[in-house]
Amino acid sequence: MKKERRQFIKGACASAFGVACVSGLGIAKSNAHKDKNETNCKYALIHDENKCIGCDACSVACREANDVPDGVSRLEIEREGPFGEYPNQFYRFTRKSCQQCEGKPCVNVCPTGAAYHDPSTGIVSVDEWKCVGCLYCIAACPYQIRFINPVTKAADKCDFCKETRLKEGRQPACVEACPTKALTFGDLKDPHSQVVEVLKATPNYRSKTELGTRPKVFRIASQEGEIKL
Amino acid sequence: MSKISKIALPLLTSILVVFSFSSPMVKAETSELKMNQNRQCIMCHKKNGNMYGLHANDALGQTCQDCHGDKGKHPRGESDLIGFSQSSPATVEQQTAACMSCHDQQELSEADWTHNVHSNKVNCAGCHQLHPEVDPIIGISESKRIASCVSCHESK
Repeated sequence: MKKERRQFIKGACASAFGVACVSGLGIAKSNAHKDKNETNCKYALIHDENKCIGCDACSVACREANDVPDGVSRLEIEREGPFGEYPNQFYRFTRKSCQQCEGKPCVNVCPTGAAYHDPSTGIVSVDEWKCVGCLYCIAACPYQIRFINPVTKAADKCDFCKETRLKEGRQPACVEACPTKALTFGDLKDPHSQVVEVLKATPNYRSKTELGTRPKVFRIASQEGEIKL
Repeated sequence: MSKISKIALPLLTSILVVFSFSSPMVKAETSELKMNQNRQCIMCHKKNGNMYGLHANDALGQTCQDCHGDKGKHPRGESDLIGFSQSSPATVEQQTAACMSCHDQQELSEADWTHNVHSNKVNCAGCHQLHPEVDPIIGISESKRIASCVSCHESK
């Protein structure tokens, strides 16, 4: 009696483990299948802080291309400085805009599905009509780049000009406007794209990666004023 | 306060000057400015020498030589005269120094950050023009300002 019971439990455990393994594999398989089918490309942007001159051509072009009202902005260039002694002074410029995170904290908190990650481009966007203005995404964004558009009353932010320029087969407005070619835009999944080539050849960094955001805006750090050995 | 009075005083006096000679031709009045009666220069430089800007104001009491340097033996012999432009034989430092003898670096820095990074690379006349009545850079639109950055910084 005792022996039978033990054997039964052993058998049950083994079969349960087997089922779990098979189903786990199945899930993993279906996930891989899903990814392959849905994601054709992953757009990314590189801001070369060495080439940037802080002229604001990008932010002005962004406002025009995307009809961003005054008082709010999808893209800003933050100026830090001056560093060094007059007359050999310099500034540092950093891009403040949506980082297009793969970790997408804004999408994770959105209760209505207005904030979404487009699987075919990798771009995080907002469906204006679904947004109820609860501000969850604004609180969740570690880069603090989201805002409520005073005209549409919906959350708004950079979407790499998905609805304006990319649709026309053009580059984002900021990339086209940059006079010093400090911005590089392209597909991370294409091994021959300019973005991949630049990223492979140049040391770069991303902001706040320690939060698990996995941003797709890369930066080439300003070299001026750095310690040189 | 000092900054305001520096700008406001000459401005007020210039308005007074304009109103005191109530003739319809504005240009005729500005040529009445003391600086444009500087025979030493204006005798020859009638066309390109007249000065209508803020710096010409009688209240400031400036002369052409204050900025352009000593006449010396000009036009026949040597002189320390300098011109203000990209094509001038004077170096950027020489040109900037003439302006910086009155203008304070800190004040310029507060007025616009770009002064700091261009001080020894671009002459002041690259952006500013003092001879016209109003310096065209004052109140420039954002797009025109960007265009002026691009005119030098564009990479192909």
